[in-house]
Formats: sequence, structure tokens, C-alpha cells
Amino acid sequence: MADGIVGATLRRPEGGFGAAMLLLAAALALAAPLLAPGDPLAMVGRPLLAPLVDPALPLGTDRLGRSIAAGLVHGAQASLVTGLAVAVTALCVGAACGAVAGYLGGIVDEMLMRVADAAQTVPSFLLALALVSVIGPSPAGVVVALSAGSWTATARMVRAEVMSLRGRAFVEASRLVGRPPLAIAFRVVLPNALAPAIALAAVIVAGAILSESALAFLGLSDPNRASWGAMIAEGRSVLRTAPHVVVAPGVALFVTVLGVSRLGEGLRKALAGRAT
Amino acid sequence: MTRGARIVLGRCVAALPTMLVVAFAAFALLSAAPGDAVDAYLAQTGGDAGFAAELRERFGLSASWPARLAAFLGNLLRLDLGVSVLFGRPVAAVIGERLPNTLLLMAATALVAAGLGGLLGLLAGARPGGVRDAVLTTAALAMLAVPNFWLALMLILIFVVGLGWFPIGGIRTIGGPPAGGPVLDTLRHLVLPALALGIGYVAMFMRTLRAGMAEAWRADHVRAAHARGIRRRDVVWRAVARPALIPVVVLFGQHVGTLVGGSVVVETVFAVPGMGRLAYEAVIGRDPLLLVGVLLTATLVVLLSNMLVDLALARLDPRIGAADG
Repeated sequence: MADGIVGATLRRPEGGFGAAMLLLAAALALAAPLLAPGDPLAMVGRPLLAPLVDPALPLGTDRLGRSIAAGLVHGAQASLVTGLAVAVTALCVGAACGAVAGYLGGIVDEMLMRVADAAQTVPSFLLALALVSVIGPSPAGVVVALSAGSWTATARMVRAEVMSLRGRAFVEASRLVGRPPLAIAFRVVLPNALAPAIALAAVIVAGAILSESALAFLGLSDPNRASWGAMIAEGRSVLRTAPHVVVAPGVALFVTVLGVSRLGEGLRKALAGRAT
Repeated sequence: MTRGARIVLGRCVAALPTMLVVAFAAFALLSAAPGDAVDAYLAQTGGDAGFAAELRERFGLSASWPARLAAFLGNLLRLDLGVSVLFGRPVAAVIGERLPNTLLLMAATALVAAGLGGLLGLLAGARPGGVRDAVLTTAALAMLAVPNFWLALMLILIFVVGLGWFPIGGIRTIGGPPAGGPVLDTLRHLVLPALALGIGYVAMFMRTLRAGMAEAWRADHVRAAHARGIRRRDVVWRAVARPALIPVVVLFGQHVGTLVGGSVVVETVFAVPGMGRLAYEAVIGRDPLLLVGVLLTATLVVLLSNMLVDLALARLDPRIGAADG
């Protein structure tokens, strides 16, 4: 089954394009220690060197003489890892909340859904900003802060799926043989509700990559790690004289987010095609 | 009771638990934030540990957490958000000063998104599957993937540094007569921030309107109108575009929160003295009370916008809000 979905996703133009973009970004991120050995935040050349002048520094340098190409490949790690970690966290928390709320119903459902309402109403970027300012801008802190606003859609969807599955015969059968309610929720009902939730993951990853870069742009990222958002912030003061410092990480961000969203669209269509 | 009043009342009742949960979360954030109001006060005046304990007693900070929570909620009901350490003034007053600029920016963004997105959606949806449609649909995908703070910088590079058409930032000309009157001056300042903040919404509006129109083309009454020989342009407007507007309004309501969140970076880039930039200043200046005040106000803005969206929908579709009662 899984193989069929992967194949069907990749055969679609948007799925293939997205996967190619994402593979490129992932390959650059994984090969970062080989492509750009050493600290990407170290000074390696003359400040504000233009791109395509020095073959060792293909994209030039920033205000402090740091290689922009090295920053890009190392920054890809931060973006992709944060995006994936937020999606995994948000999906797990959302699926757990949704399954519990949908299966137990009653007052538990009511309370969880009111919390979800609130998390959905508060502007998620402001929530992330507030959480990061309390937890601190460590990589884990950023993941927690960005997950806080992105679990609600999954929770609602899983809850609705679980509620519609709850009355089906195979669930009734589990109940009759005496399995405890939570075990039924997680072992029997949840696996059946997971497929549509996975299509949501791409939306969460794309949003998280954008939000992570926006936080880094505002100075809320680990200062010892390369990040595209921080690179853009760094280049802001030389926008007029050396625009390449800002343009390069922005294009990288754009291509990555586009790749993620296209792959998600391909996956969504492949899932929809299987259902009909 | 009229439909409008029923919608307003329903929204208010639904908003109460949301506001309560957000207020609890705000209290938890304040409790978890390093340092309290007394630390901030002593950082400016100086004083020993005994004085600090006395102040905590007087500010009610030494009480147990249920008592502090009750005091916090009581203050919220009286719209008392505390005093900002950064500005040395009540938080509510600082936010009240900044909020109009953010609302102005949001309104300008909604106009840009509805105008540009509507126009492009109309162009794409007039002939679904055509070349123009394919080009515009691809462009929309690109617009959705652009980070808005980066787009803001690119717009500055092109339209301010390169062409010199618009001012680089702020909300009105300072230290000189406003060019072309105060209204035109503010509008000129708003164009680039609204474009940077609104680009994703342009794409979303366009896609939604296009999808709705593509569906409407297949509807029987549209095909009948077509068969009767009514001009294509009239069919587009009357039978295809208008029903497709409803999901566009719904979409706007769903994304007001994202708009407020995006205003943080866009206002920071363009130096717009609004509430979004205030959130950034509160984080950098370590002013948790101010940050929580912005968070609560932003939530209220989202809830009120949703109510307005509901009222607008009721006008567009007579079935909404008329069912029970």
C-alpha cells in the first residue's frame, strides 16, 4: 500500500517536481560537512565579495567575510530539520488529542476542543514569538514554539475520522472482546485515520520552514548555527551595495518551500485518487 | 431577534471559552517568563532583597498562584494589562496607540489581496484550462512560497532603491510636509508593506475564486445561460463570479490570524509603528507584560474579524443564520 502511494505521488508532475527540489535541498544539507567543511560562521575571505569571482567562494561573502555558499548548505540543515521536527511533533500531539477527544467524547472532548479553538485563534506566529522568548531560541525551543500553533488541524481531522469510525463493526468487535478504550483508540481506530493526516504534514512543514526563518530573521535563533533567516537579517544593512547577501538565502528558502508544498499537493492528489 | 443580532450573540458566546483559555495561557507565560515586575522595577531604581520582598508583597506577587490568577483575570476584565517596563506607561495605552496603524495595514492588505487576487482569479477562471489560466496558476504557487520578510526586502530593492517610487518605511512623512496631502501620503507608505504582507493572500484569493468559477461553469444554469446566447462576459460576472465570492470571504476569515502574525516581520522591515512591531520590540526589550498584552489584543482582533466575516457572509448568502429561530 505504502509503495503504491509513493509511486502514485512521484508519477504526478507536482509530486515529482516537489520530490526533486526536496531531494536537492536534503542532499545539500547532508553533504554540508563535505561541501563546506569547517565552521560556516568563520571568516574565510574578503568581506562583501561578489558572487562568481572566486571559485572557492562561488556565491561571494557577507559583511563579515563568511562564505554565503557555506551558509546556504549548512542553513539547509536548520530549515529542513526544524520543518520535519515541527511536523512530527504537531502530527503526534494533534493525532493523540484528536483520537482521545473523538473516542472518549463528553467532557474530555469538550475541553480538548476548546483548547484547540484557542490555539487556532491566537495568531500562531505571535504565539511562537512569545514561547521562544520564554523557552529561549534553542533549536528544540523553536520546534516546541512552532508546534504549539500547528497541531489543531490534525487534531480536528483525526477527531472527525475517529468519530465516524467509532460506530463501525470492527471497532465494536474490539470493544466486545474487552479491550480498554484507549487501546482501541490508538491500536485500532488511529491507524485508519492517519492517511489524510499525513497529507497535512506537508502544509505544516512548509509553514514551519517559513516561520523558523522569520523567527531567525528577527534574531530568535541559535546564534551559533547557520540559518537562512539570520543570513537575510545579516544582509539587510548592505541591501543597497551587496544585494546578493540577501537574495541567495531567500531563493533557497523559496525553492525549498515550493518543493515541500508541491510534494504535499502530489501526495494529496495521490491519496484522493486512491480513495475514488 | 434579527439575523445580525443572532450571529453577533452566537459568536460572543463561542468566544468566551476561547478568551478564557487564552487568558490562562497568558498567565502561564507570564509566570514562566524569567523575572517579574519587581525585578524590572528594581533594575531601574536599585534596592536590596528586603525591599524586593516588600514590593512583591505590595504588588501581590508573593501570593499563591490561584490568588495571582484571580487578580490577573480581574485586571483583564477591567482592561488593565499592567505597566510596560519598556515604555514606562500602561500597556493598554501603548497598544491603543499602535493598533490603528496595524488595522490600517491589514485593511490595505485585504484591499490589495481582494483587488489583485480577484482580478487575477477572474482572468484565470473566465476560461479554465486556457493558457492564461495555466500561467496564472503557476504564478500563484510561487506567490504562496515566498517568505514575506524577504519579499519586503526585494520590494525595497526594486521600488525604493532602484526606481525610487515609494518611501522606504514609516507610516507618514516625518519632518516635512506630507507629499500630496495626508491621505495620499499614508497610502504611498502603505503600498509596499501591503504588497509584501498580502502576496500569499493574492494567490489564495485567486485560486479560490478560480476554483469556484471553474465549478460554476459546469453548473446547469450557467450552461443554460450560455445556450440562450447571453454574452460570455455577462455570464462570467452574474452567474459564475458572484457565487464564487463566498468561499473567498470565508478564506479571509480563516487567515486573519496569519495576517496579524505576518505583520510582525513586515512592520519590522518597513518600520511601521504598529502592533506587530510592538511585539518584536517587547521580545527584544524583555517586556513580557507588553508581549502578553499584544497577544491578547491580537486574539480579540481575530475574534472580532471572524464576527464581521460572519455578518458579511449573511449578506452574501441569505440562507446563513436564518435556519433556526
